Amino acid sequence: MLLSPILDTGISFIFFYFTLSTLASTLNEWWLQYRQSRGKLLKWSLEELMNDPLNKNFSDLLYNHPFIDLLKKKQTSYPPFIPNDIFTKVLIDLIADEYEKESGKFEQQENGEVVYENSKEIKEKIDRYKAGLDTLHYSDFKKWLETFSKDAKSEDELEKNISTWFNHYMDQVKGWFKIKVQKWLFIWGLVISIVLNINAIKIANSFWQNHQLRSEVTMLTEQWYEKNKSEVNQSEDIQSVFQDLKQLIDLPLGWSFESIQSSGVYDFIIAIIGWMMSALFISFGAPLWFEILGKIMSVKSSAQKDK
Amino acid sequence: MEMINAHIHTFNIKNTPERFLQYGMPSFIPRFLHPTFKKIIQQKSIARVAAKLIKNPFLSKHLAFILIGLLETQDLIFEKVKKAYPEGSKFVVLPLNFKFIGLGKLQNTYTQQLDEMIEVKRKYPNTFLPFVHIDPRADKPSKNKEFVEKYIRKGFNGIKLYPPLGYYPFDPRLEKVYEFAEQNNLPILTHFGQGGIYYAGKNMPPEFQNPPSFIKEYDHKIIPNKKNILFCDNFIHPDHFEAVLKRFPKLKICFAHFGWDFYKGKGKALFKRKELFDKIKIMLMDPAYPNLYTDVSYSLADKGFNKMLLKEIEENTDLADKILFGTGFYMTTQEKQSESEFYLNFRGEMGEAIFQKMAVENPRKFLSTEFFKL
Repeated sequence: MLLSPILDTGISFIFFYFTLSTLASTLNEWWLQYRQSRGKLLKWSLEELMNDPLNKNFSDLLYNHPFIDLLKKKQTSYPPFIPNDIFTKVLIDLIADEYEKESGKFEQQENGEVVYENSKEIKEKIDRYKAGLDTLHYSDFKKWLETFSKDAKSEDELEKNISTWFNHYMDQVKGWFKIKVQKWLFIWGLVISIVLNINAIKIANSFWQNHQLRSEVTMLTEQWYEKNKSEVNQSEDIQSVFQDLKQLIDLPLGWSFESIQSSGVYDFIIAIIGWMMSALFISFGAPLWFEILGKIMSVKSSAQKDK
Repeated sequence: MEMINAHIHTFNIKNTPERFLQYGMPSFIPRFLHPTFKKIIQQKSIARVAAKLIKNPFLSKHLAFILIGLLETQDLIFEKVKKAYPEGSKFVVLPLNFKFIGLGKLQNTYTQQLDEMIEVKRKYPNTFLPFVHIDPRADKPSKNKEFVEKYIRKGFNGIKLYPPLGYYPFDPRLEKVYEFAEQNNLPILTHFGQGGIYYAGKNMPPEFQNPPSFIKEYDHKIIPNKKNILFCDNFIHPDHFEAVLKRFPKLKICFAHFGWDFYKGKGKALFKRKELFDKIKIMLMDPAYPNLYTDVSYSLADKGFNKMLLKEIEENTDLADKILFGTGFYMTTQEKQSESEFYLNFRGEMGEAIFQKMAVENPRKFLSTEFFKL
């Protein structure tokens, strides 16, 4: 008999934080796009690797290369993503160019025009790459570049080596970005929790104690889940569900002048803990809540079948 | 008219040291808050508003760095200045080695700054005329000369000096550089005005007060001052340069800014406002220094300066043969006028005949070397 209220409370609670997580994710996505966070992190990660104080800042050269320049939305922004094949070609080109820079110089012609002249040309790209490497001072960056060309016998092999490495590195960058997203989700979660006064302790308590509220939210969840269990229809649908949730009078959301007046220090401390918990729950992200919701819904349906 | 702007900068914020903002930071901001403040002010939208509101000369300079210097490459900065001038205009581009300014590590090394300039020159070989800045503290005398020679042979057009960063023109580590410059008719452009950027380290090294010199017969006088900004004017004392010119009389040298005064802080500056201007004027007209020039960079932002200059030229027409047109971009972005307004207003104020000398004939003479003719 007790199983149903526990399950319903769990379903209501999970669904409530799922909607909030989705809302926070939408805000977060907009915010990260506005701040060009993806592009900046990619630039930072390449700068860490390619800014070689003993030689040059190759990340600047990379971003100034016409291939990468074309990926920028505007001149002062960074591309959020660099395709693997483009990175590979540009890196080889930059290093090969070092050889040309070392041997080339500006000369004035008879008509007064200044031209850049390069006396020694090497045909094969892989040889130009190796010659470019030879012009660099010994550094970690040079050592890193040498690992690509050491066992490469052709240009294709060199490209493959760089490309494989870049793939792995981008996976790592994606991981860093996820951590960044989570951090910002927590901040947005905290903002939402404070603005709407969403205290996780009060919410859980209301779902547990208020039978009518619990039934209404569970019904709303079941209807929504039935419609969306195969695929979540993002933001718009969720936003309308959140509006429905907010209209439930018994749900302890929002601020009231009376409650502020009547609360003491103890209430305030509890509120802070509740907001922090809410922010933490929101930062878990909508996919996780959706997965848990799916599991608990199947437990409920099997429990109903057994009955 | 294929004009030449003989004084611009394209280095960006990556070429400055990590604590560059600190020397412009208002004293009421506690030191531990500086990194936070720097992070906030380096947001372009905030910097744009701050640039309009803040009148602190050093903070304004930093804001100019932020608004222009945050551009990713020197290429982008150069494209910005190019737009303000007729097609085919040439620009003398002056780098700065901030390594010894006393404000921490550089994000990009000085050689990276120069190598990036080579990249820009490859795109604009006829209009981008880079100079190489030499700070004598970088290396031994022969190495300094080798450093300069390497870049000159690569295609750089001249040498830049910026003594207020903490060195004297008579530094023994510069002697071989002057020799090389004189032999090859290379132009040297030196900062010559009060204010501007200066050595900002916490403690001033003892050799600032007792510097070694390669000109034994010259008795240099150094006026002590506890404030860095005021002490650093000692580095540009005209007597120091006169001593160098006596030793290297054929040296082709340009005193930037015509000695005009940008100092707006508290305390008594080493020179009175017009003192350096008058001294330079006398030196320019002295037949003992046939290769001496000056430029009007940044000073042309001051309408009073332009008026006075025109009056001086009208009184002594030969003076116009010794002046180069330059703006000092992008330091000028802290002023209300745009780069094209600076150029067009100055051209209008001087008149075509004088401007032709300043922006075409004189820079051609100044910039022609054993390596390149203009």
